[in-house]
Formats: sequence, C-alpha cells, structure tokens
Amino acid sequence: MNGFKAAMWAEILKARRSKLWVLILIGFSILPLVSGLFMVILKDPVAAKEMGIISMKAQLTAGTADWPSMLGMLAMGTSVAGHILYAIFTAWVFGREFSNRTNKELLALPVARTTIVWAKFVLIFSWTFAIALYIYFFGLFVGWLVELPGWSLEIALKAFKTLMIASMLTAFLQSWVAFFASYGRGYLPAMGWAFFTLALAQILAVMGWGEWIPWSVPAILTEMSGPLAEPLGSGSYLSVILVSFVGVAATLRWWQRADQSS
Amino acid sequence: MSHDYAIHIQDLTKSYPGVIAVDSLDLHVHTGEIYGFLGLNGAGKTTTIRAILGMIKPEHGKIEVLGHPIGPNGKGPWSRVGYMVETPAAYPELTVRENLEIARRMHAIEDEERVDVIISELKLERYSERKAGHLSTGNLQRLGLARALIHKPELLLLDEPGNGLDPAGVVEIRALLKALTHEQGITVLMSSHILSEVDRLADRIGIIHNGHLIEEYDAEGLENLRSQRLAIKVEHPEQVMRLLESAGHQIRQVDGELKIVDASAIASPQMIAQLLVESGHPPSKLVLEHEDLEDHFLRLTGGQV
Repeated sequence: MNGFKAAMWAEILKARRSKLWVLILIGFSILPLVSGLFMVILKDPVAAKEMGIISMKAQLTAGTADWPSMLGMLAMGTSVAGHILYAIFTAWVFGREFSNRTNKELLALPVARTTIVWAKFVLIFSWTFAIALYIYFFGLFVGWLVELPGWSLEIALKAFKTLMIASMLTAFLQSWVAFFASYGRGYLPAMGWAFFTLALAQILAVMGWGEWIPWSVPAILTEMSGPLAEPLGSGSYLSVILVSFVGVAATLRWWQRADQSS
Repeated sequence: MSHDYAIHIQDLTKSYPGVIAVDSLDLHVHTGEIYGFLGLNGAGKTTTIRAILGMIKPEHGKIEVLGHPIGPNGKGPWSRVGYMVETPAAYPELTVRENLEIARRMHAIEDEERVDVIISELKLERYSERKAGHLSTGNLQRLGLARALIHKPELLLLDEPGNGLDPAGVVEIRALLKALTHEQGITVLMSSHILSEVDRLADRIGIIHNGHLIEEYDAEGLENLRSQRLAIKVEHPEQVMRLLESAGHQIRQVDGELKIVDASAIASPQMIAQLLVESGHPPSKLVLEHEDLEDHFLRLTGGQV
C-alpha cells in the first residue's frame, strides 16, 4: 500500500462521513430544477401566472423555452454556483484540519505532507467532476420531463463540453481557496477569498477585462456576461491553468515549509 | 552526533514575535530511557517537541531523531516515531476505529488486526464504534495514545499526556508507559507541567524555564531529591556543622538550615538531638523532612503550577 493510496483512502472516508457533500449536492440540485422551472414559465407565461408559479405582474421578456436555453442556464449556473459551492468543499477539505486541530496529526507521518495535499486536491477535483456530470444529466432529465423542444445531439454535446470545461476551470481555481484555507488555518479566509474573487470577476468582466482574469473566464465561457463574439482565446485558458498551478505550488510549499505552531 | 541518543538537540533557538520560546537548548535523550521534560506553561516544552517533529523551523540549532537530521519539510524517521502533541485531536465524524484505521494505513501496517489490538491495549473496546466527536477528553487522550502507538514506535513523544485524564487514567497511562519502556524498550520523551506526573516514571528529568534547560537529574539525582533528610536550625550553624562532620555525618547548609543526609542520622534523630543539646547547641528546629520535588521545581522556576 503506497502513501498516496493511504492518503486518498483517508480523504475519501472523511468526505463520505461528512454531511457536507450531501448538502452541496442538494445545493447543486436546485440548479437543474430552477432551470426547468424557468423553462416551464417561458413555455407558457400566461399559464404559469394562472397557476400562481409567478406573479401576475411579472414580465418575462427574454429567453425561449428550448434545449439550448436550458443547457446554457445549467452551464452558467455551474460557473457561478460552482465558484462558491466548490470553494465551500475545498475550504472544508483543507480548513477542517485546522478547525479540528487534526493538522498536527498529518505532519510527522511516513506519508509525505505533499502526498496528503495531493490526495486532497485529487479528491476535490474528482468530486467537482462528478458534480458537473450530475448537474448535466439531472438537467437533461428535467428538460425531458418538461418536454423542451429543439433537442439535437450536437447541441447536447456542445453544452456538455462547455459545462464540463467551465466546471474544470472553476475546480482548478480552487487551488487558491486551498491555499488560503491552509495559510489562514480555517474556513473563513478561504471563503473570504472565494467571495472576493467572485466579485472581482464580475466587475472586471463588466469592464471588459474578463478574458484575462482567470476567475472571470469560466463565466465568460458560459456566456454569463453576454454572447461571445468569438471563442475565448487560448490565453484565457492558459491564465486559468497557470494561476491554478501557482495556487497548487503555493499550497504544497506552505504545507512543506510553514511553521505549524498551532 | 551520536547515535546512542534517540534525540539529540544542539543549540536550538526558536522565537515568535516578542518572545524567545526556546533559547540555545541542548537536550539529549538516551535510547531506551524515559525522559521527563518539565516546565511551567509557556516554558518552551511544546515548541521543543514541535521542533523535534519538524513542525516548526528553528532559527538555530541541529536536531537529530534516531540518527536522522530533522528539517522543516516533514522528512524524518516518522515510521519509527509516535507522538501526541498538546490536546489530541481526531476526526469527530469518524469512529474511534476509523480514526485508527487511517493511522494504520498511513503507517503502512499490513496487519489489519493491529487496530483491534491497540483498541484493546488502550481499553477503548467500549468506544470503538463511537464517533470521536462524542468522546470524553480522557478517552480522546487514549485515542491519541493509541494512534501514537499503533505502529509500535521506537520513540514516543508525549506532550502533557495526563491532560484531561482522571486520577485513575493517569495511573493507567503511567503503567502503560512503564510496560512499553520495560518490555519493548521504547524511548519516551514526556513533557508535563506537573512534576508528580513524571517523577515516578522518568529515568531522567529536565527542567525547562523561559526556553532554557535549567536543571537535569539522572536517576541518582532524582533519588537524592526524593530521599529524606534531617533539617536542623541552630544559633551557630557553622560550629554545629563542624561538630556533626567530626561525628562522621554528611551535612550541608541550605538557606541557613543544616541538612543531614546520612542514613544513621535519619534512622535516629533523637541521637542527633542529644548530641546537640550536650554540646550546648540546642536546636530550635529538628525535623525529618522529605524534600518535595514539587517545591524544588517551583523554587527553580519561581512559578505557580
């Protein structure tokens, strides 16, 4: 049994026994359900008003009830909700070691500290990948239930690609949440960072700098800030990967070198 | 550095903003011994233990554990070292067994029954399926010890192991440590701010105060401290000292009082009293005393426990 396997086993056990993953799964389930509800309303706003789903005064002027809209909403929702919900999970995976004071039990083991940190990252990445798959397929199920028009395999695959890439980019950026959970020895600094980058991403995207700001890239990719005139350049993707890589390196370095005096 | 030492610390210095936690500390723990590391709260005990475990970066100094130099990057002979630093912590949502299963796997112990064995050794059977978050402090302490011992370490570092334990628990842990050292030859460095917790167990005791190792006692020194003496207060101590020395007694003067430490005087204090009265130096105090180690420790550190 090698060290990574042991560390991975421990991380999976800790995550399984926690109720957090269930809560986050419930949180993400809202996304396809709300998207489906919007589709129902958009399909027949008058009926929706009569049924009391929306207020009689509500004015729905934009959007159409079809598969591209439904899948587009899922991708947008994943990039925004993922920014916070993935951060909560990441902050928990790293920050709980400090709030439970179990960090000191990880520091002088035959398994290298960096191996333990890698196991945590692999867990986070695998989990976010599974969540993205869940959102997509649950979204397809909801879309099928509300009988959306305009289905094509091409649209479904394109949406799948967009959603999965947006989710992966969001997951990569969690390396900085991991760093702040470690550096700040708890959840709060990590969550503070997540909210700060969410706000920063929105502001800079509105100002037109979004494609160069890693935290804006997933939302821009999912056309959160408007339809893309042309596809995102490789520089945008590269900025996310580079920044994420630095976050991973900083987290590893911190666990290797920082004083663990508490 | 010598490999006869399980722990060899040379010139260790570690400071935090506004405080020098450990100052030029030299400490050697011999293989197979129990070393009691005493000091008041904040004396530098935990900082030293954390430095030994590579958890903190010292400004100066060299540390060798079981012949391996320790750096701040987590590398060390940790498969041969067990430790419990300060309050033991466990994953609260996991059971006692699951917490120990993690430790078993992290130490690459192939024997799956080892978890059951250590649960039994630490008397945790009743709590094995209980979540760690629902354990009492004493049982959490036992779980911490179980985790420290699961891989049968050669060296055990225990920081305040009696914290949170009831008197019966302290006695139990003491018996366990005694058995471990005598039967398995484990070296133990055990810190405490309570002298009585270590004085019955330790082969040697080091007292740390304000980051300095101010005194060290080996078995003989400890025995001397524990031994009885006859304390005498007289008007002219120098004259009486000469008198008693000429009568063949071992005597020393401490804080204006004379202390006779030889067995014959301790066995018959009335004989000493008679000698003093007959020589015209009637004592204002003559009492058989046992130097309290606790008092000795407090006198050295000038503190409150």
